[in-house]
Amino acid sequence: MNTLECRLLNVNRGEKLVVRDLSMSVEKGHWVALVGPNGAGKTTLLHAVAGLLPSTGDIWVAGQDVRKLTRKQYAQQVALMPQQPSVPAGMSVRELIALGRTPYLGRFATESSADKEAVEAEISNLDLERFANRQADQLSGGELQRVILARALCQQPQILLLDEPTSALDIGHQQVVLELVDHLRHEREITVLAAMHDLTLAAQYSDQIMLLAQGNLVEAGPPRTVLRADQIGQTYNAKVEVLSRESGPAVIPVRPNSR
Amino acid sequence: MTSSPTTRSASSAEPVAAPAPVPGRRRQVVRWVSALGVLAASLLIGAFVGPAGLSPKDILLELAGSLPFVDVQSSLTAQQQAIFWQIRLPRVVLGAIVGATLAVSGAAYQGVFRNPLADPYLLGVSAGAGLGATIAITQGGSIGHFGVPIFAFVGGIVAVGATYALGATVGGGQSSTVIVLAGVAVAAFFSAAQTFVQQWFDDSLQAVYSWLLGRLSTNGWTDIRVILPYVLVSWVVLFLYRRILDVLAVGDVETASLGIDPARVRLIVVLTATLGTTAVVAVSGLIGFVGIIIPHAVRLVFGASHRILLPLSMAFGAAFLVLTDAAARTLVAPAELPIGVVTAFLGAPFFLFVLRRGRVIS
Repeated sequence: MNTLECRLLNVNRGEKLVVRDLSMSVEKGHWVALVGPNGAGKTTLLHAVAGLLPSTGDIWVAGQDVRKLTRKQYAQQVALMPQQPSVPAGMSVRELIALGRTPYLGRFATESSADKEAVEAEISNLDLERFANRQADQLSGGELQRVILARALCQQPQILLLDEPTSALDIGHQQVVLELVDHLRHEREITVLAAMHDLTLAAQYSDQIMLLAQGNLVEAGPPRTVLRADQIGQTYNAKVEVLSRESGPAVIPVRPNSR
Repeated sequence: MTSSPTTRSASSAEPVAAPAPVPGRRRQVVRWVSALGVLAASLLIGAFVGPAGLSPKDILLELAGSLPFVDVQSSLTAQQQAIFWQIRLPRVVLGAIVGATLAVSGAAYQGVFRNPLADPYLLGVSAGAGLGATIAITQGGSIGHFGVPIFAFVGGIVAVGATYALGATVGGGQSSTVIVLAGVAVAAFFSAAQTFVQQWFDDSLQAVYSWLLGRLSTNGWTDIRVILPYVLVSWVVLFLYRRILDVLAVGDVETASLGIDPARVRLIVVLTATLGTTAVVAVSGLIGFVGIIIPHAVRLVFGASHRILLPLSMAFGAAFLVLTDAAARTLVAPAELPIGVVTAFLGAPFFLFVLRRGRVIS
């Protein structure tokens, strides 16, 4: 069954059409990487799928037309990890994670003991016990991403949207976060839709790659078919070499004038 | 209503101590006891201080005697009793209500605007309410005592709307300083309009002018009865939004992705905070900076969660204004300082302190 389906999605930002006639369907538990040059519409597409931007066309999540969902019901199905999460001053890690229970709370309610247990469970799942009482604004980039992931998991989503989750991290921390997401999606059959900058990492972790350019879908398919040197060269206006490795294609930049 | 869950998770068994203090149940008890203790103490001090020479012992007896099933008598004369019950006590209660409302509204504005400098005074709400109230006062009989808060509310809403609209056109409303600058401009405009109205109807100049400087009036319990419905509504609604205000702290996009409509929450909270603020401004005049001093001090000591911040701001705001009023009554006795002068004297330096800290945050 497909967890996420979009048909002829169009999204405007101001006057500008940023995503054009985009259709896709993602199987439950799959990882789809959205790649494309800056301004291709990756973030806009993620925000539209999360219901944060008005769009035309159809979106179904777990077989439900999202236009019939309330905002809270939506947030129970779809969680977003933003590119640069905001970290309010004076909020502890535990409090920040507990915000993920918001979609399950009554209008003016505070967390029940069941909610608190869910929060503690995610804290221990993501190995965050040491940080739980710390101020969130004192965390490093990698720690913060794990905290925000824990918050997203508290929403118990069917679909996890990641907006360049690792762009601010070094290569080691990138691997830690991506491995964690991969482990969780297998364990809980969460569908992952992730905008990714690093094409090699995108190829290693995703089942499918969607290449966007200027709001249009250029090609969707398995990493090996989409990530071709000529196609990347054209779309990104870049000069690259694609090596075939067991883990997937590895995209290496090539200096235009070298040798 | 627990602020942050205490748990016996695996981490507490680890020998490595957490760097931040654990907000345990005992800490919470300490927090509430200290807040209520400070409030009670300042109410008593406010009740003791005054020119009529009532002794604290008699006041305590008088208060105790008013409780049901307590049979004690003070040695106050009938006239002294009247002074206490009809002049001094209502003034203390009014001070507490005004202080609590200004502080909790300040905390709420700061929450929805995500701006540490937002305050009823600096957002222009007070000036807008001032214009509305001045129009009501100068029109006198035709509007009446109970119409003043309504005029003040309309003025306050127009002012805060103008501030927000102006602030949003520059830099997408993201910059704290832009909103405050817009608030200063709006406040100046409304103050000018207010002065114009006041001068035009110069027969009520004296009344308007003393009101303008901020003062807690002495007309018995009338003012309290006039504003109580508005401030109660505002307290209750703001308290209901305590958790949602915590959600709003993570920004509009993330708030929406957590299932809350940020624009709707902002609208309701601003309307509610403005209702409370304008009601107290209508009877107490322009008392500035309480909405900045108190929430920031509470945040520094007790943390930023609105579940703690809102009720504690109310308690400490009430205590602060009662004590400030006691000071205003005694510093230049037998004359009185306008209380707004005292809060500004304390608040302006504090504002600069917050500005310096806020720069680090943003």
